[in-house]
Amino acid sequence: MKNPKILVTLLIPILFISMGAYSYAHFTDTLVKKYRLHVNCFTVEIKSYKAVSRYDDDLITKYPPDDVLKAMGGTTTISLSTNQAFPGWYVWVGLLIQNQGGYTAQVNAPIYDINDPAGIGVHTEEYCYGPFTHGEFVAADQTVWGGIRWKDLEESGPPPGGSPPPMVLEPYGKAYQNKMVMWIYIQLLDLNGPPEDFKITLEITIDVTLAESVYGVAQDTNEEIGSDWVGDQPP
Amino acid sequence: MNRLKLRKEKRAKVCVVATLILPMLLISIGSTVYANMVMSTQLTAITSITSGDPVIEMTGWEIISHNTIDVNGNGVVVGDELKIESITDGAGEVVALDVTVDPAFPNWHLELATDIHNMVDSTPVWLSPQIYYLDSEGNQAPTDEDGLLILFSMRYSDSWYTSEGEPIQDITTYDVYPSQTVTHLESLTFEGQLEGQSFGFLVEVTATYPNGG
Repeated sequence: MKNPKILVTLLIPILFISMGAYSYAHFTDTLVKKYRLHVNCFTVEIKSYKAVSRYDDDLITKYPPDDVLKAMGGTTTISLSTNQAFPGWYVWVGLLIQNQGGYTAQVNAPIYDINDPAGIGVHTEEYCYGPFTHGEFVAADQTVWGGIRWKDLEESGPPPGGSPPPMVLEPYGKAYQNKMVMWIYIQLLDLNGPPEDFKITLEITIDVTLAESVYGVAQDTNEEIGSDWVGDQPP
Repeated sequence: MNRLKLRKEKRAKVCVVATLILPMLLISIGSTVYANMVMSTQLTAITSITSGDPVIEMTGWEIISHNTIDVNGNGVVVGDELKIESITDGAGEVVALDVTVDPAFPNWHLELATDIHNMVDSTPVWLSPQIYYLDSEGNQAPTDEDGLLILFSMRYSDSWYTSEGEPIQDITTYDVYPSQTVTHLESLTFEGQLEGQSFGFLVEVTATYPNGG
């Protein structure tokens, strides 16, 4: 050994570290709190839709078509178009909306963005039905959805029992599948007298947000956990 | 010296605080934005509405019955004593029928069925028939069944049928959809004694937009 000082300088820390670690292992204890966070999906979709009109819904082109939408399992965007409209023309657009996610959702009132350069005028109304569990919907299907024909809507107006938006849909559950029906009535007016050629685009946006009750529940839950403490509570 | 040192220390503290707080602020703002984006959705229905025009045409006619006489004995009545000619517009669509009878006589009658077709690109329409007579100067003047009877002793009646043969109660409020055909059955009986005179009338069928819902 030419320089024993260097050797000592290296060995002593090594010894200390290993002894320290050994002591620490024997004279300490550990509590571990593992957090696992699973963020649920927020998914609210249009499961099915209809365009019902006295002026023959076959004259209205729909996308996605029924079979495609069924294969997709739901969508957030649909489009309707016709090039055979006239002042007085109307359509009832029916939307079957389902909460397919893990949060309580609030379906808000539709917002209409109307582009009507010819000034024909568009009148809109909306009616909500539900929320329905799967079983409730089966019972109500005939009166609010599957059984609706244009004649019913023209003669009797919207199905009875409707309520204005917003509507709260509980999270998806196998037995629940919470859904609602929204019927939107769109009618062309004739504000400019004799009709001329016109083109109107109408974008209907329905905002779906977390229901306010979700935040409320979270607050309550915290309070309950606080009162569940066993033994002396920490300051 | 001490003041300078204190200032430097203060600056360092401010820097440390800013370095810690800024990312925290950004993270919290970002989280809120993200939560709002993820925890909401928009359902959209895009509707495009373009106007259409009512376009109808006659696609056929048929004489159901008549008692026109073969006065010249050439064995031809339809096309001779009773002539029905189609009048077309520039697009080749039949827009009128010109019916001529010579001679008409007391109790002469004709039952004529006309097919009126709403074109595929048309809007749904309502049809409104209107009778006109031609005055002495050849001008059109509106009249009705009673007017025809008074003016020319011509008893006129009509009825409408779907392509399946179902009667249509009121054609003026019946939706004829694009690609749909309806049949107009007209019955004419001459009850007069207008010897040596000629007269004319016409029935105009107008297609309009249905008077919406």
